[in-house]
Amino acid sequence: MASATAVVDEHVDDHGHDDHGHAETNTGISNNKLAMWLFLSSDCLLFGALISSFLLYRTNISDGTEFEGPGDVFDIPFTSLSSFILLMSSLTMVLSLSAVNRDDQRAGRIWMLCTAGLGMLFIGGQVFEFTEFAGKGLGYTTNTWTSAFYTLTGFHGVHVSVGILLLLGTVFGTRNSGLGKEKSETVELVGLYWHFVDIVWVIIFTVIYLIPIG
Amino acid sequence: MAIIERPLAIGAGDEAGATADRPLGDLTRPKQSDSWKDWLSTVDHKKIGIMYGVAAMFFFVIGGAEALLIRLQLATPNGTLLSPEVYNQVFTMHGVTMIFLVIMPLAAAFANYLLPLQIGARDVAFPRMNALSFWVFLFGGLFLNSAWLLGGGADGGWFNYSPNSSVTFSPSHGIDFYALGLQITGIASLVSAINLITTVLNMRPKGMSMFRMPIFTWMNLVVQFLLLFAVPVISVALFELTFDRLFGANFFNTEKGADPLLWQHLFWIFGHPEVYILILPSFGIISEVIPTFSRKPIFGYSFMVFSGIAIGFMGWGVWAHHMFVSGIGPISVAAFSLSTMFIAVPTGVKILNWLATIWGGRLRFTTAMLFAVGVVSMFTIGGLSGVTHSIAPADTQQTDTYYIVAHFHYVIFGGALLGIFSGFYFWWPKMFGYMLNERIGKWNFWLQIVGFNVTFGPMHILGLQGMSRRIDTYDEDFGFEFWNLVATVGSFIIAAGIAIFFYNIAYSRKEWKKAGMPNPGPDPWDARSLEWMTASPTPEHNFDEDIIVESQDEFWHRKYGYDENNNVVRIATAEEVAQDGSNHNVHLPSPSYFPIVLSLGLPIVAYGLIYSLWLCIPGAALIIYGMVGWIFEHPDDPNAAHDHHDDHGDDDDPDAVEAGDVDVDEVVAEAELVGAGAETEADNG
Amino acid sequence: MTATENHVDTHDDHDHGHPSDRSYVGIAIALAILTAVEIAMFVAEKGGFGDALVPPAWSLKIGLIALMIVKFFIVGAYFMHLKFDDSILWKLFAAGLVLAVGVYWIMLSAFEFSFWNDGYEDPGFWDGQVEFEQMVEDS
Repeated sequence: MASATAVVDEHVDDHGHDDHGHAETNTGISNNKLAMWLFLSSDCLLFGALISSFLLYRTNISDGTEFEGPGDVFDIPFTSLSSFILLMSSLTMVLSLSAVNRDDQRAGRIWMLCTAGLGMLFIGGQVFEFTEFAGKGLGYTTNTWTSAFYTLTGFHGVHVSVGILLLLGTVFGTRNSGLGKEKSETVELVGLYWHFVDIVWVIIFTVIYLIPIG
Repeated sequence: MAIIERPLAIGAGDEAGATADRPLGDLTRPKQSDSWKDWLSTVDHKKIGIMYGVAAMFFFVIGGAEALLIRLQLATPNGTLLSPEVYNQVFTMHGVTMIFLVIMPLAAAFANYLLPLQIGARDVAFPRMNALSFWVFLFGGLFLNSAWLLGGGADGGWFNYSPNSSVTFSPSHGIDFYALGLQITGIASLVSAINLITTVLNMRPKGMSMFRMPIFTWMNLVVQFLLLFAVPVISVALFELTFDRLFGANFFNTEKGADPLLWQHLFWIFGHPEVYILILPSFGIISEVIPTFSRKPIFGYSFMVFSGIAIGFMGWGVWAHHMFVSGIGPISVAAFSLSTMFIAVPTGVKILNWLATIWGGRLRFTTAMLFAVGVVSMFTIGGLSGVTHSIAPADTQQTDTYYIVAHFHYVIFGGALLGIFSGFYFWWPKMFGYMLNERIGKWNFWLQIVGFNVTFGPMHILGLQGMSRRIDTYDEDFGFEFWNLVATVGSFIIAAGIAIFFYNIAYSRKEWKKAGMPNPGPDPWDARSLEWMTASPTPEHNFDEDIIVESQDEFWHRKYGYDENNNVVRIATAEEVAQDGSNHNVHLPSPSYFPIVLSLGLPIVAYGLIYSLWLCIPGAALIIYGMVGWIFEHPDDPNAAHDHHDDHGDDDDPDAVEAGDVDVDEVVAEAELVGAGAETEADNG
Repeated sequence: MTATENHVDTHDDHDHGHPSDRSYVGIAIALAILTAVEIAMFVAEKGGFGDALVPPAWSLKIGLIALMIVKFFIVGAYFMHLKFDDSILWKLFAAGLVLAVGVYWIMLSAFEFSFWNDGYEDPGFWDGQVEFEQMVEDS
């Protein structure tokens, strides 16, 4: 639209982007990326509701069980390790994006597989933790605390699992077409989702596991 | 509807065209055609908008029938038409249907149809996700109503307060259908919110800055943001309810020390923004209708925009006024009471601006304008009775009486629904190419507005007399007989008005055909915004070429100028200014079957959760099949005349991005969003 | 990113601001250290470093929340590129975040839930209910 007049140009958009190659959209951000951020923004409210449901019931623990509090069942060293694993998977994710940006397809794929692998380790840890809890008599229906706990961490686990599927889908779905620089936005979007899941866990780890209750 | 003949591919495209695009070996990529199948696979925002409208009107008839049953039951004391159990289901389903399956999708119908047109775009940002939203909504709505055939609907009121919604107190599956059905329609709303926000933020043509967008677009943008943030809240509440009922979780199990107020809070944190989700589209509609028929620009454009945004913000801080008598404590009551009084301010600003727009205008009382004026007056009554609720001591008297019923019908029927009817009469020629009959339309309006006031006006009195909501009958000596009978008579007057609307559609269409299908022209009302700048009915590609916008009410300013005395003079006819829709070389996104396939899986999973988890497997398989097919299907059919891009298509043409580029990124990104939306469902199964 | 008409030459500011792999690793190490501090605080509270080093409960909560927020924003700013992208993305995300924190905070407050109390005490349905019941019991 080179023919547009200068008057019009002033009003092209109100976010003031410059003409730098992304100018197809008014905000300068691709539709996909904007949509992903909108989704993540909306997901804040989802996890917020789950976390606050848990907080409301966090001391409601004694009914029907023998033990005194979550401190009895939480295995902090173990959860710390799996939190650490998830945190590091964010590193491998950005390294993958950085490799794809450099057009280094091989490294991009390897880092993405690493990310998926770390994610699977995390999920494995969660499955292990759930089985441990169940073994100690803490079923989903035992009390309000367990319902809220399993639902919150379960929803997070499902988010991680979806992330793993997206990662594997991106790695294997691009076998024919290649994972060149032109795919960097795809990788970036998968990465955004992945990091979001990671920061949700940062909150869960602190608020649910580390902050002690009486 | 398919007006555009796709240009035949030539040259190299020919070889490619020889093989059909079958990403999964089946479900051949549909081509555009005139057959009914076209509607199943369409990704055209206009067809999707029309389908939203048709589906919503279907549910409107169901919900209306439920309303008439309620009124018949209450017409006389000790009514025996419905048993108390059935009565509970009927009023619950009436509320749920009217809110989630009628008003919201009717608003979505207008938003889908008009948002891209009003900003001058060719389609929404994600056309296939738009189709997905519609089909998910439709199947969710059908699922919800299928409860009637499978043991009865939900029976706890549209808000289904816990612990009344637990299996103990509501042992039928009605509330399971409610929880899962609303979950499904919630996915539809969320996907469509993301889609429409992206469209408005990203796809405006040159010069269409945010503050040149029509008010309708602005109000809908606010609504989509409200949906974006409110839907996850109700999703969590509904998940908790579902898990409680189906898997024995304890979120609302008071026996195990749960706090049932958790449900009320989560429900109303969603529920109050929901009120504005219902009303703001209607505000948007009449903000288009009133200036057009007053021949004046909207008074205080920026005030209109900012008051809409302010309503959107403040709508998040008033939810507990629904809970004044639930024991939330004096501090909460005081705080929410104050915030509720404040939210009346931006609403008052809007009413003032409409009145100021009408003031001194050259008025034409068409049916659309009558309905719009109806909104202003009726909504003001409903808004004022709403302010009386914000005063907590008064509310304590009014809660759970018919006074509340009167109030919310004045805002939802008198505000939202009348506005939508105004929109019907206003945009009908743009959507279908013929005008609705004005004489019958006025009958429609007067019957509806009189019936409405006769029905809901007396409910104020009944409420103040002490008649409770949701009771299935009352005794003779309570003094409720007269006004109840009046209300019942009124409800049938409304029904007659609605019936006349349907008759008007058929009659006008018949007359139009008899007259040789005259085209109403691009701009039958001498209107102001961009959707009137293209042919009627809107051609499939919307606009022949991009519009370069230079002012607010661009279309108006192309038709009218000023003479030397600064008087407004006509400088061009609408036909001269408008595009004639003759450009057949516009490349459009290709239709797809996968949205409908994917959506079909959701109710199957939901039935599985209720009846047998085994049924979740085919449901989930269908969802996964739909997603995989979706990912591997190009958003754009590579066989469909790809390189015939219209001649003005520069590299930075927004339409080229939207429609032209086959882009794996977009495929995967769409899939992510679909996956993320559906994952909540997967978690269920 | 505000409108800056005059920086025509920095046209690809979407890319050149991204950190290098080395700085990504550095950021990850910082995050790991923060996590280690969090765990150390937890251990200290349980008496793992001797009774003399048990911090008061409130300081532990403030410290852990502060570290959580720092980690959250580091991941958001660097790994999710919010620091380098157009600010509208940050604003959109902040809208959801602030709204979530706000409404749920108010909701929990309405339950008279306090993050700083260790136990959840039923405040009673109305003011003075607990005292009233106690009085009835006593009499």
